[in-house]
Amino acid sequence: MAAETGTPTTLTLKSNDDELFSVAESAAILSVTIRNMVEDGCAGGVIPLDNVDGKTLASVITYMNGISAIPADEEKKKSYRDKFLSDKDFETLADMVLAANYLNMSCLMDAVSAKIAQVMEKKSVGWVRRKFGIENDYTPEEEAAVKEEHKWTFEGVETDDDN
Amino acid sequence: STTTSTSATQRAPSRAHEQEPHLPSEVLEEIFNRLSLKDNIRASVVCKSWQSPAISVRKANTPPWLMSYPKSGDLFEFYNPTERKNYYLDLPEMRGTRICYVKDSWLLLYKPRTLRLFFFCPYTLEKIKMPKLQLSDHIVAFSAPPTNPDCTLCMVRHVEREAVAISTCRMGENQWTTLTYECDPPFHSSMWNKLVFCDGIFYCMSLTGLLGFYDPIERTWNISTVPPPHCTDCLHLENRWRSKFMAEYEGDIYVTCTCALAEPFVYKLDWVKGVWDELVSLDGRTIFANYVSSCVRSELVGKLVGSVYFPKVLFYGKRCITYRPEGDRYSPKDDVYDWTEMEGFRSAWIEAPKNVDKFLEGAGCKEETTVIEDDDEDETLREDKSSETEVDAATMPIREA
Repeated sequence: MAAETGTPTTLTLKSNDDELFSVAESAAILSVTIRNMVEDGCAGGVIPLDNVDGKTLASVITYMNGISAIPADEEKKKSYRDKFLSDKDFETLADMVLAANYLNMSCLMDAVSAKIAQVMEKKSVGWVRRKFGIENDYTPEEEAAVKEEHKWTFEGVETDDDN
Repeated sequence: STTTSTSATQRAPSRAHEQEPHLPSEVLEEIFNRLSLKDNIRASVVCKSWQSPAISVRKANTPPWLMSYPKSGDLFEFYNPTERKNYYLDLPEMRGTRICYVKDSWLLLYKPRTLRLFFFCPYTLEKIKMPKLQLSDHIVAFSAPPTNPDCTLCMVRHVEREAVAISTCRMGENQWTTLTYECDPPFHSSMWNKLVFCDGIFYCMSLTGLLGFYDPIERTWNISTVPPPHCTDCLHLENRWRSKFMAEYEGDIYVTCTCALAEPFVYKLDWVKGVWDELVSLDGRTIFANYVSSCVRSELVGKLVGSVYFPKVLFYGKRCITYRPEGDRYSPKDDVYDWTEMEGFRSAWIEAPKNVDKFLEGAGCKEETTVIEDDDEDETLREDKSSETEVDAATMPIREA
């Protein structure tokens, strides 16, 4: 990624694992969190982003640059978002949704949430637990009770294969 | 992409997840907000911390309420099957009327004294008059809410064994058009006819299960070759005449056939094969059966899903009689219900009020302790005529009074 693109103002962002990234202010302020810092005059030096790691931040910046280069054309923006997310694996999506939430970037948040929801479509409970790395904390009785109440929702789901 | 995890015992989270916190509620809500009802419910079973965000953004439909004419006094009764609660409302506009049909929150009412036919919404009190028509106990179906200019009304009347008269009226017309049609084979039209509108056609089922269909644009009437749905295991001739309930949903027609000595049968019309397919499951849908007009709902939650709700509330508003094809039984069981009572025409399923709080302002809610049975499998029913006190379920098996 080009650090300097000749735009008037660039910001330096720092990930929680101490990687530094330069990004045009005009792209970075897609994040409301960053925009507030800029407006508050806190963006003079390095902006530390304590909740985002370098790998995720690199992705987010690619997205910021890509989407801000597109003029106000919702169709094109949408197709860019779809393409941007199409090759992301599940772990990356989970990291990105957290980053989008922390950075307060509603358009990325919407897109990634929708993508994760799409991945969860018709998947079994077991599959989702494995994919999200979640320990089941329901007792067998509690789980059976909820399943019994909504019996029909547990029919016709994809098998527990981890694909 | 990622490698396939083959070990079923591998429960430890992957490395990537060890270093990242679980998704917070606000993020989960964003994701769950985009899930279908089915996927949302499954998400709530993943772990306890997912349950409340899933429920908070769950988009479920609300079931219709059963509206009944006053059994005594002036107050109409509205039964909410989710809360199993009754509300009472004075509707002077409806005095001296009977219900001809219901769709959404619109009732089609008939006032025999004045021959006046009109649409009425009990929530907004809007009233839309239609041209006069001489009726006795007939059902008069309508194709769409009366606010839709395409709304067409249709009535099938017995003339003789081999003929019916069909009357139609479209919104904006100032009189009814009645035409007489020959019927081959003979069509026993009666007050027990069932009438639904589906993809531009009115379908009329006679008490014996014969299906006639009327095209209101072409003005053609035909009797279909689909053999009547019946209770396959019951040889009683009487069963041919038992009540059938017909409903339309998203281009499909459902019929619930009740039997004299056994559980009902639920069918869906197979348009291609021209037969009634018996359903062993409602696949997440719910049928709300009624003499005048029945309806089907999907995306409901809880115990409502997958059952046929009959228009009869037992035990002082506690619960409806239901039938679940899976398991093939009525609830409460140990009873075979007779769906030939005339009082059935005095009630109808109607869309729940959009603004329940506003509705309650006008309605007197007669508070009754609503004891929801923990499990419908437990057929021992509770009685709580007196409010507040819970009665021990095990000790008081009660049959309908």
